Amino acid sequence: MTGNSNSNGGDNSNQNERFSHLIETLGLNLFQKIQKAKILVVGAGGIGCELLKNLILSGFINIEIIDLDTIDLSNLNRQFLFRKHHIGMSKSKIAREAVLKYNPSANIVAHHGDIKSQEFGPQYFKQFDLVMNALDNLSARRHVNRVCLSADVPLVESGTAGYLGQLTVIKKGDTECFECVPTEAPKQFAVCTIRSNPSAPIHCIVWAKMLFGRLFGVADDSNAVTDMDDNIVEGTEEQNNIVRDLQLAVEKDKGYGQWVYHKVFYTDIDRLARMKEMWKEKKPPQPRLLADIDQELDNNTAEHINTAQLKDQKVWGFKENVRVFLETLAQLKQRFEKDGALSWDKDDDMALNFVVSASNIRSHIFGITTKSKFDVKSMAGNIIPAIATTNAVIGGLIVMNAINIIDGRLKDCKSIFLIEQPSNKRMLLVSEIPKPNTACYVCQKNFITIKLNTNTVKVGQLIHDILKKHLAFSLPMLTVGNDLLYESGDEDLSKEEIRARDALEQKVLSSYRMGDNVILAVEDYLQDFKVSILINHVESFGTEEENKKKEHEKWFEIVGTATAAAPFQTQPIQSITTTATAYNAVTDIDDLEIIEPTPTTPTPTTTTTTTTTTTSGKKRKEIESAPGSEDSDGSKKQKYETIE
Amino acid sequence: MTDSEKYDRQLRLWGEDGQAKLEKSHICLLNGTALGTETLKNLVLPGIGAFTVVDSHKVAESDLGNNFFVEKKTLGQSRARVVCELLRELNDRVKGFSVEEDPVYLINNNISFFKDFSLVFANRIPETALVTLSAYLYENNIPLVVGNSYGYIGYLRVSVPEHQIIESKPDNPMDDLRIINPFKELDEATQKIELTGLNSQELTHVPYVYLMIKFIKEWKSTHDGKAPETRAEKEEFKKFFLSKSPNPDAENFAEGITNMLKVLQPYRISSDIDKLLKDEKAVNPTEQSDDFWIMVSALKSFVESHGVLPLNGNLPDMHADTCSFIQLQKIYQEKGIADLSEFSSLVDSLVSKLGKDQISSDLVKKFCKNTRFLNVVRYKSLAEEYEKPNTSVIISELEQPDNNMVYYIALRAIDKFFSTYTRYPGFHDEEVDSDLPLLKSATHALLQEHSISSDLVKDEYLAEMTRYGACELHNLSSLMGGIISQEIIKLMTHQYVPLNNTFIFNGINSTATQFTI
Repeated sequence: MTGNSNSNGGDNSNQNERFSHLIETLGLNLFQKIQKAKILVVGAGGIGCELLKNLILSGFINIEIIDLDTIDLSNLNRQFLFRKHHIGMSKSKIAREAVLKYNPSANIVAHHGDIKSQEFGPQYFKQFDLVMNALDNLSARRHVNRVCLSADVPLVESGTAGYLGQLTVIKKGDTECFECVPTEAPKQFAVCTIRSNPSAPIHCIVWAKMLFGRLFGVADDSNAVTDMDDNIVEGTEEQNNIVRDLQLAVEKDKGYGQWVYHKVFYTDIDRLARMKEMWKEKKPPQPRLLADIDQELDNNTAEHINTAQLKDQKVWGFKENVRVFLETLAQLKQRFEKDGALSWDKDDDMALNFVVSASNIRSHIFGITTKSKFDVKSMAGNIIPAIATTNAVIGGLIVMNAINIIDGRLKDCKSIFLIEQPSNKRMLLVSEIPKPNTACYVCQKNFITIKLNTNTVKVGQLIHDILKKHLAFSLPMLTVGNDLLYESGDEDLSKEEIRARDALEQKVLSSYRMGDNVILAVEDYLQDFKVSILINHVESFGTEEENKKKEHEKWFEIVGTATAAAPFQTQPIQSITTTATAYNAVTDIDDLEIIEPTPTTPTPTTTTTTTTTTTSGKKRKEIESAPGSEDSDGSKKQKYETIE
Repeated sequence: MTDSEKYDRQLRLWGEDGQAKLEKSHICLLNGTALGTETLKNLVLPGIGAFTVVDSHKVAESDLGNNFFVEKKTLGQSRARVVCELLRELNDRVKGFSVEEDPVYLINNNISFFKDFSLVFANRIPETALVTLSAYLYENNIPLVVGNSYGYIGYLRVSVPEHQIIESKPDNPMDDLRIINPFKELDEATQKIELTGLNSQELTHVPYVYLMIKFIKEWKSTHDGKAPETRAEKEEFKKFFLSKSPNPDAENFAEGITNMLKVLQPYRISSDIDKLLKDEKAVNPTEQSDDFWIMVSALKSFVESHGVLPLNGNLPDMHADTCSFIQLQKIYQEKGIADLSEFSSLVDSLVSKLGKDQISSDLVKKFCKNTRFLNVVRYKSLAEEYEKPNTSVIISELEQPDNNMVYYIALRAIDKFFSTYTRYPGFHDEEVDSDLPLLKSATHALLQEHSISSDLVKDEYLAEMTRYGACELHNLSSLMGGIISQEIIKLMTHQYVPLNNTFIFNGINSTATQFTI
């Protein structure tokens, strides 16, 4: 925590002159409310920088900032409070110093920390008159939403993605909460899709990232797959053998690259291609011997003729991919031997080249379109385009809503979308903030049902895959009746207790009092959030292990919420007009031109919606932190795409 | 550390070509107000080439209250110099210059000062000087952007005689597939495919493009040679199409149905493009014609001989086996290359006929791939707007309750007020009450000049504007700075269509409206 600087700078006499324009326009009464208000800004990134500047120059003087991040080069095209020499330093602290110059008597406190950590619970939130989210990820948004509901503090939620932006206000009981909006489940890929049956470039990219992890990541025989990608379930015995082979290969010096190539692009593929029953409906993959490649002409059919502009936007030919693959493999191996395990990073050029080449070779083998380095970076790294202009507009609108709230005029707050091209003369789509969704399990009824096979699903899976990942709990605690079954967090537990808990996580639910028809109370004291969960045993749902060989991999289903994923995630940039159109339930924008909406899977219109982990194998990309949409039938729907 | 790394997140929006154009631009800002600096901030960050701030003011206490690019220790110093230095800190790749001079003086005494800028952004420039500047820039085809942040109201006006756009990047561009009017090579390839000999598995691997072309042809043979046109016919066709599917899950057939309405649209050249082709500049190219119009003229010849635009040549991903997909992709690609080469030779012969320099092949290629999305926006000059505004638009907007047009009128009236009294209404607290009637009569005179009923502008709006006393709120300036810089980026990169021609942001109810006045 950075120290306060509440000492009076002694320039009060000028304060009034400096802010005379504010007093004139807002009135003295409101200006004084602003000076008294205490604001929490969560996130000091693109929107956060704008917010802090706007707050300080709008007369706010009591501000706290929380951000976990440090400053990166790619931030500097928009996060204007930071300079090159700040790279690697705490965003919140540098942001504080930067804005303090404009009002040295302001009381700004900077925290370099995780909003989900224990020091920032509901008690901490209660001291604020208003919280502003300037976050870039969903789970933190859901967390802050719950804490604000608990502390009954109004929250301004916002997000931008490229030219698009949106904001809204959340106030307990008066407006919908962040999780009132049903969404699709985040995109997950079944193991079989990634391992044996890819049908889109993204499947090959995910595979290549996993291959990177297997070759150069932390060696972990027992659980070699899950630690590389959260969404991929554990491997089978056979796959673990492959992992062992590959890791052993790292030891071999001679012909290492050739060996790996042969293993993953010939032997494995050849074995797959022989499984005749898999290739009844589609063409089998074509194993490629390294020796054959030299004789081939470079095949560049996948190269689009209109992408000559950027060297990174060029799609490499097959031979080029093989060359890069072997080259980066050798380089990465050297690094691995020197520095130990590597973790994949989209900004690490060598690691990126590896994934580009490996995924393209695999795409080629499976007859899938190959992608440019630029595109692969975007898909593999979940990159969201970001520019200063959009953040400036959204930052300004947020502070306008904030001033309304401070003035006690919640009714004047609006939900606003910024779109990239004015549509029918409008650039901002303004609507009333919807009322709470009576079915919302977070702010309204606190009850959901989970269907699963209690004889196969383990406690650990319930905790980590369902409660944490799908229902956004940070530190879930489970009780049945008065008995405590499970406690999260390590701080209050002894080593013994932690060991006991680890053992417990391996038990199946039915063997630990969580059988059919049991009602579990799940509580998160950090979020001050409690929900009752009815466990419903479904015999036909297996475990992930059992199911991954089958065509559909559903192993649990959550009933009573559709919020397993992402409000504030967005559709791809180009379909924003659809958002506008789909918004026709809102009065203010009823005269937008109607464009045929892009097809999406239908969302149930009933208040009880369902989300599952079923995967459809369609290619998707993730865009975080931006607008959602409302379907024309009035049911809320987020059309977002995601890869993880 | 490279620029491409620093600019990574924006290159994903406008590409290296857009970035290169941005880096070539030199923006001139008249008056380093909060609105001015916030706008420049959003341009310096993504890396324009250079900026120049012209301002004769000294940093005042009121600047400290709303302008992020001044500091307390700079009180009394040249505002041009101070904001220039602080803006430069944002990006060491951008050159910044300051000119300690009254912009009005430069306009009246040294107007050629402005001739080398890529764009001039003016704010708080009195009406007569602004009209002079506008006329000069208009003559030199330099874009002028006028901005104002006035209390809760934001204003933006763009003016340039002609703004050409090759990449207008529409929201939902359609693929250029020509299914309804297949070109020869595509038609021949389709005919070669025998569906009857295929087993059901093979049938599900045929790209839907072939299926559509085949079944439309079959449909035509039983419908007087006509493709499905009415809604009923299309429904009928859908059933017919699906009846050919080997099983209900066939993804290629499903894709066909998804795209059916789009591909059944009769091929036509959009009215916007048609207008361009009929433009005097396309019909009669001269040695004065620029590259854009020479290419439009060549395009006109292409369309005259083929009836269609050059094929873009891209085939989107679709369900198919690899072989047929690559084969189909090749057909489109080769046709795209053939059309490009024909178009290029049309351009070449026109260029040599006019005795002009060769146009770079990259530019010709980009143009050829984007012919469906070309756009030209022509703006009125300020003088023209002030003399002959689009009164029917003004009146119809004013007739709607609570319409933002009223603020356009109020801001125009305030300019007139300033011309008369050399101060803004309500600028001095003690004159708020006495200034209101003066602003009212300025407003009524303005409305009368254009034969608009003065009842359409209610006094309450004028009272509100007088209350603001021309003050500038940082937050509104920051927001407007975001919008204005976005439009400037559109103008500089020639990507996307900039707004035409006036934009009002209303901070009272957070609405924004675009008007063509």
